[in-house]
Amino acid sequence: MPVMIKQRRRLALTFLAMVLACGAAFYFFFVADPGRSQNSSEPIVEPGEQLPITPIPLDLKLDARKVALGRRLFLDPHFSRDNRISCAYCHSLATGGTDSLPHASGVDGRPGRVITQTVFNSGFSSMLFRDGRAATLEELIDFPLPHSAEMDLAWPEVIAVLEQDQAYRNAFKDIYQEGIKPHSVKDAFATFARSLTTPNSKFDRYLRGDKNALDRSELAGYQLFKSLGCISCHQGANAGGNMYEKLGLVENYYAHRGNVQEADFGRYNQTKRESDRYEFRVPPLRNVALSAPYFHDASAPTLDQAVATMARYQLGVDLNANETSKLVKFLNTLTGLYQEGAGE
Amino acid sequence: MIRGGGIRFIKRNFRQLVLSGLAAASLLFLFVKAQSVDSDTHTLLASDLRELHAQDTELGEAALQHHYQLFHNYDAVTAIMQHMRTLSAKLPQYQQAGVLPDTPEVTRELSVLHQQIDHKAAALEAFKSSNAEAKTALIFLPRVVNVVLAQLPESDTLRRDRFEFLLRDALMMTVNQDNHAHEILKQDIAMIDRMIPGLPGLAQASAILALRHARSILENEAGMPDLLMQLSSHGSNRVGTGLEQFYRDYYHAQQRTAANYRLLLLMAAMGMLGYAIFDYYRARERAQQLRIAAAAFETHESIMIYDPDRHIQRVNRSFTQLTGYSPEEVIGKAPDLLRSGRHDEEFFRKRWETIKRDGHWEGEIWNRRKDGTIHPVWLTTTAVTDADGKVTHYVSVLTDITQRKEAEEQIHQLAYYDALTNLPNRRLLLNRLSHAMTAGARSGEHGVILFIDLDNFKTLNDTKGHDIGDMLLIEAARRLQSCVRGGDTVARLGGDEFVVMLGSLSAEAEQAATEAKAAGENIRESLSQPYYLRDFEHHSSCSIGISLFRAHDITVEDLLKRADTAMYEAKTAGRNALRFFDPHMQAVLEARVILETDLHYALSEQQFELFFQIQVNAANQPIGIEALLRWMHPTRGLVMPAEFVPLAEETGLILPIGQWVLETACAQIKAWEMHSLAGELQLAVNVSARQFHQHDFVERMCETLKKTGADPARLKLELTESVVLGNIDDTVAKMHELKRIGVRFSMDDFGTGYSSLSYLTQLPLDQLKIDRSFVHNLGIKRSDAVIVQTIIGMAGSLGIEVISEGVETNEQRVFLERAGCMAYQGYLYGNPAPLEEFADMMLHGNFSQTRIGSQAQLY
Repeated sequence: MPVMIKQRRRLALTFLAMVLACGAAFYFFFVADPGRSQNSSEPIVEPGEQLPITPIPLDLKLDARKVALGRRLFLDPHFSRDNRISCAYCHSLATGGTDSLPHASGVDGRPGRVITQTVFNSGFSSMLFRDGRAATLEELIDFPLPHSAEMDLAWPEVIAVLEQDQAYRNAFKDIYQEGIKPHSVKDAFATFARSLTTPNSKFDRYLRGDKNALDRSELAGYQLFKSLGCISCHQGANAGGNMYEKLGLVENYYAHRGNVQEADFGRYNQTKRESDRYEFRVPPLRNVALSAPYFHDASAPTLDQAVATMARYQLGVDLNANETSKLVKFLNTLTGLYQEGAGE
Repeated sequence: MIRGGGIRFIKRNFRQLVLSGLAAASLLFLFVKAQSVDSDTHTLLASDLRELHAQDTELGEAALQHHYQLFHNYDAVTAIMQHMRTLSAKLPQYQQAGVLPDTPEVTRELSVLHQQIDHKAAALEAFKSSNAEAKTALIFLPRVVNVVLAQLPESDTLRRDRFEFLLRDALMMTVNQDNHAHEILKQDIAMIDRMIPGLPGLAQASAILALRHARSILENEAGMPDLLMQLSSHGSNRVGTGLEQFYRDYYHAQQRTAANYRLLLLMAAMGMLGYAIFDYYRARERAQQLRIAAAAFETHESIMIYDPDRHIQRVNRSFTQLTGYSPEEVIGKAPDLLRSGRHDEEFFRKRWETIKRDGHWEGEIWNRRKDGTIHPVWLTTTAVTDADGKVTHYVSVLTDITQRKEAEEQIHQLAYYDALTNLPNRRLLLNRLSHAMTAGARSGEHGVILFIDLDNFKTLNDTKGHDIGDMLLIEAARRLQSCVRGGDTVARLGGDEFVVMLGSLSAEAEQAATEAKAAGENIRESLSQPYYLRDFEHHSSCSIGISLFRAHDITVEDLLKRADTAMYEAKTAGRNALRFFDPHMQAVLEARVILETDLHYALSEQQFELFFQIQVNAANQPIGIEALLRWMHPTRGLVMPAEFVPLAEETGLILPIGQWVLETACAQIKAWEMHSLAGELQLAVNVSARQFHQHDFVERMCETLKKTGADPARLKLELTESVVLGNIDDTVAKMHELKRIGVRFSMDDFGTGYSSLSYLTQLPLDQLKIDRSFVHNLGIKRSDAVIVQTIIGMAGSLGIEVISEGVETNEQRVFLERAGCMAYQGYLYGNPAPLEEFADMMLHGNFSQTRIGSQAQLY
């Protein structure tokens, strides 16, 4: 009886439609409550440590593959117009992450305007460059890369260079779904840069509770550093690098030095705010003993000189030799140890 | 099921499929609309906004905290600001993702938020710088003041106090930045400034430096309340308030819209549920209807359903029984496989025209079964249409009308054909005659009918039985048919009467007559051939009457009557003959009809009379008298029995007439009792076969004898051979009964019929009467003389008297006497005479003289 079968099939379909309709109604009234599924908000960041200067973390938790890839990129001289200038060309890891020159030298030996800064511990800074024009390491790479006096390469050229290399292609393919793209290149580079830390300085050990880590004069230097008020600006994990301040608070630095140039305007060049003129990022003092010469204009060849200049123009005092010596001794305890592969 | 079934299904249910698709699409639409607020992205946005506010609050609190701390660490606030920037940078993505509408209002709120963040960032930077400067100054100030104080004598309390106050008020300024503290510190600075020229040389520089730091505190702390206010997350400084407000409203609106769509979806679902329930019950109802329809489908009528593409879709069991095709064999095929080939394309074309016009056709059609047999079917085809009037199926109901056709055929056969010979009967003959006349009217050609009557058939029927008679009729019918052409008609009117109708004879009457005569002769010749009926050979002949006709010059009935008349004429002429109708014949016919009418009144009008004729022996002495019936017609005069007895026998009047004869004869016997001569003689009376075979003939006879008082011994009944042949046992029994009371019997007209020794020996006869035809031929026909001698010899050996009738000459008497016949009757001895005349003759005893004399006169 085909008629009966057809009939039964029809009843079954009708029943199915009823079940679906009930199911849809149920879903919307009891399950699909948009207010239900909420992500618990991220923990609110706690305010800073009571310590003015905090130790550099020992544990970095970075992706080792990205660090390795970033290192290759960092050391690769093909990232420049003349296949000569790598990142490490100026930011030598062996010499405190800088070139120790008053002015950098880019492709074809073109001179930079300001002094090269260290790449070490740059991951702890939220202000990069002296005028703070980059907030992150990812942003930072966009400045030296196309700069005519530095690497002088556009992104398509960078990608082309990388694409030619089978090893890069494989490495990127392994780590990044997108392959070789500006974003992935920046990420690899920045991850490597964040691995460039110098933990376990004497002072960090002291901060972590090793009271014998500093000798008496070094400790006296730290006390003096605090009592002179240096600590007001040179604080944070990097002992600086987290705020802007004018060079020459008390005495006019440029009046004494003369020959004011655009490079001296500092943050003004970035914000064009008159209040920012001559304001520079407070330099981080980590490994400061290794990063001579000092100041944006490389005017202080030694640390002693730099300390004296700071006391003169920022506080209005001339420190005696003993005081300077103590301060320099203290500053030397901020020198940490870069271990290649650390934190990987 | 069938190839292309899917496409056909889509075609047929196109509208339903489109409607289902629309319903599904609207449900999907409602579903998507009800989902329009993506809970995940909404949560992310809400969480980002919340966190932004948390960070904002945190920033304000942290700034305040930093302000009141001597030592500080800006990493955290910097990180907070960085975090807030990151969060705010993410917000435009929500606009791109559609969580936030892409409206100028949102864009404006977003830019306001970015401005707020920028403003906060600037405020934070200003705060950090100012706070650092102020704190540095505050840390450094005591050291410088100590240098100054070291240069001032202890006694100089006034100036020392000024520096002490400066130190104190600068500290107060960092705690409380109100105008009062500001003014006090300002006064301190002004007073020391005025004091400086009076200070010792060494102290002067330090005092200037101290004032420089104090001014730094004053300036930086003065701006601090404003900066802290900017960094706080209260009131207008709260980041993203506008966006949040907008989004909250927008989200709620979205929620409401989604809720409305959910409600719509629910209503749609409820509606569909309701429809589903409704449909369920409707479907159940329909299933019931379908079950009824399915039961009705399996009726004894054959049903075939096919689609407009002429593919059979369903057949029922009766169809299989009727056609021999199982459902598997016909489903999907065209109904044409049932075609018998008996109908042309025109038939089917008209049939489909009717179906397309009326949606219905019914009629008789010949179909072919699976086994190839062809059968008649009453076919009803009805078009089934959908709601739009488009034909979806055709339903054909087939009724087997084989039996009905056969019955019709049988009825037709019974109505128009003779059951025995299968020849057309009188009714059909009349039809065909009408048609032939109409045809003749057109063509001018003559037609003819031949009325054929088999001679002596009645005798054969009586002697051999009806089955033999039937066999003769069947054979005669067969021969007649073989004598005619295809278009001619041979009909049986009944009994031994046949009519042959020939058409398309010449337009010339004479020529047509010639053709008709030839055909008639042919038939006569054919029917005269010997018949082999069962075990014996039979010789028969026929009498044929012919009548020509042309167009409607005569009615059908009259035509038949004419042919009948001609046939009668042929029969009268001595049988085995052929006669054309002529007007004289018609007159005779009419006269005969009048005679028949008159005969009805003859008895009551006492028009009958008995004549008497004497019988003598060799010595010319009377030995008996024969009573002879005569009809004294009022206008025609004397009518002989040969003229009216056959009519009386046909009409049944023979019975009362015969009774009258017997009664009158018996009364005469009684009357003659005292007569000297007549009282001695026996009176012979003729009895017809029909009369004798009345079941109560013996009783009537006895009663008549008793009533009249006549002496039975003087009564002699003369029977014909046909009386005996009708039923020999009955005849023998009745004869014996009557013989017991003294009645005697004579066999009349002996030798003309089927006389045979076998019954002659069984019958208790007293006398044989040699037929006058033999006597007449004595001396003319030798064979008849031999027959007469044989009869006389045979009668002698059986001990039965012999009498010859029709003796007219002396030569005949001499021959008969020599042959041994000693009794005679005829003109030679006296004519039949009425009673008075006969009585007179007897009285005078002059029979022989008179007759001999008159005989002599004849010669």
